[in-house]
Amino acid sequence: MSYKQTNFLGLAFSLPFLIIFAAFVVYPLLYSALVVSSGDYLSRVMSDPLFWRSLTNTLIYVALAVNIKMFLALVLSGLLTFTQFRIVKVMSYLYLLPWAVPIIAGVLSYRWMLQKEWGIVNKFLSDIGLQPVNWLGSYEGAMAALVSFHVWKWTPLWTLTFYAARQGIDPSLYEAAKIDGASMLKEFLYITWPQLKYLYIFNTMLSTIWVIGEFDIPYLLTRGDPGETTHLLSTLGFRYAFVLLRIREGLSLYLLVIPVLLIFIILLLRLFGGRR
Amino acid sequence: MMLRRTLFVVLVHLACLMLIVWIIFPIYWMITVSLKTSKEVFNPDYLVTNPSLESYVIVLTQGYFRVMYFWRQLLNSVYVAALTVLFTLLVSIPAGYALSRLRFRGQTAVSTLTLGTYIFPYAFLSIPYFILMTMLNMLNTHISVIIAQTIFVSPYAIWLIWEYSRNIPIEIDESALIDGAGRVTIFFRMFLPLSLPAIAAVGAYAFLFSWNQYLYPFMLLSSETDLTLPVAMGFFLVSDEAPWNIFMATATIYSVPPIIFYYLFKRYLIAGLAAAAVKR
Repeated sequence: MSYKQTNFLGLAFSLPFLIIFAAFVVYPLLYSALVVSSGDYLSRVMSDPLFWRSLTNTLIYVALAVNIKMFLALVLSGLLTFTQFRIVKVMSYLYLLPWAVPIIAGVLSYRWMLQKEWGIVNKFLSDIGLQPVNWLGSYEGAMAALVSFHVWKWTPLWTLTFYAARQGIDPSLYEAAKIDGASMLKEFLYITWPQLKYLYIFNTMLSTIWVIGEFDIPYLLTRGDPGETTHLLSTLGFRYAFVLLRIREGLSLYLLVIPVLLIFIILLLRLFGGRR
Repeated sequence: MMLRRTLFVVLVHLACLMLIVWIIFPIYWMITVSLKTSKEVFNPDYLVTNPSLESYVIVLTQGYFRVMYFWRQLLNSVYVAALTVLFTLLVSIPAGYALSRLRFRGQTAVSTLTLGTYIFPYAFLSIPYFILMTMLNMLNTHISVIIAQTIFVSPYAIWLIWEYSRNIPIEIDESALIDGAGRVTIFFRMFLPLSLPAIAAVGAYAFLFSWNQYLYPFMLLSSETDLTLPVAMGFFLVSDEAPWNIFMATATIYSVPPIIFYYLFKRYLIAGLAAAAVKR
């Protein structure tokens, strides 16, 4: 009975979403494509050395941020399973905080922590006898700050997914391994990893797509500084459009990225859609 | 064996300790600096010796030009978040119901579209959306921000409701149908009340999403009295003056609601994610 076709109602109930999607996403995208195709904006973007620099930065940022974060999340979710220790209990209450704190608040704190002269990080470095670092005033320092902020902010979310997946592993597998005297490394390699690897790959792909489009963290933390060297594609497009007021170049840069993202998204849904 | 066990315990504690310091420090530092007076800000000590509420008083009484519209902007954030929650619920509950309980032509297309939109990084839609809002003469309106946020929140919201309602036995619908109830009646009388936990999760998620948004309100709003607080806080960073104690007090105040929300709704937010993780 529940498989009776309800064509009309089904569409009617989905309609609010479909309408706003068509009106505010599809329509502006088509219109933008039309605008961009009427000029040589794309070739102007491609001939800007800053575009290639931003592309490189985006690749570096995505590669470092996603992989460091995902590995850390896997480790952290493992630590969280040792609940017989009180410190783990404490950590399990605290570790989601960066996720709950708004990005702008976290960035404000980070900016002041990393300040060259009065920042606490450089004070700590000199206290333990190291050279202070010009964090936000140098290319390497600023990129490191971006990656580290991203990892700080987003590790909790992915840890949560690994933690949830670990709860789904049959505990009798570990009990059997204990009886057989398996080491913790062996337990991980032969029990945990086989059950988590699809999630790990899925998370890495999903996060890659999201980080390619990340705007708030790079824009607020470095805004391309020092000297426009740390732009990512998202912040460069925004700069074209709203700082240099060349909105069509910004538009064509964004439209250039969208097909690449769509390929990733289709690949992701193809690979993992069937697993649902 | 005993030695290895001790070594293991020590290592776990060391790793946890380092992680806790790393996780907490930026938040600790935000609060610490907010408790300093303007004179002490440039003195980086790990601990605050005589905490002062001076900067909170300045923020709450709007006594500095960067926080001149603090209450107004905080209210804007609340207003935009509340309407984003409302719109998201209106859009996502029916769609979630349709995907989980009805069979219709185009269902697969709708579900793929939902998932695809959820995955798509919405920053790349910002300039097209800006152009559309310019054409519609809707720049500098809160509704432009609310619509954009509703679109980006809805896919995950739909998915949460869809996912949750798998746990509601289909037999309930079937027996109601046999008793002569229509689908619409079932939706209002049975589906809605039974999905309340999922609806609460969606509301919390939409609120947090809106509360944290920066790009869209920054791009779409320009009048100082219209800004949401994150956008106003973004302007702290281009300030020549640097009363960081005041900035940190603002940041701390703005972080309180999401932290409370998170602890209140943790169970629901985790349940949604857990379902997502275990499914794969």
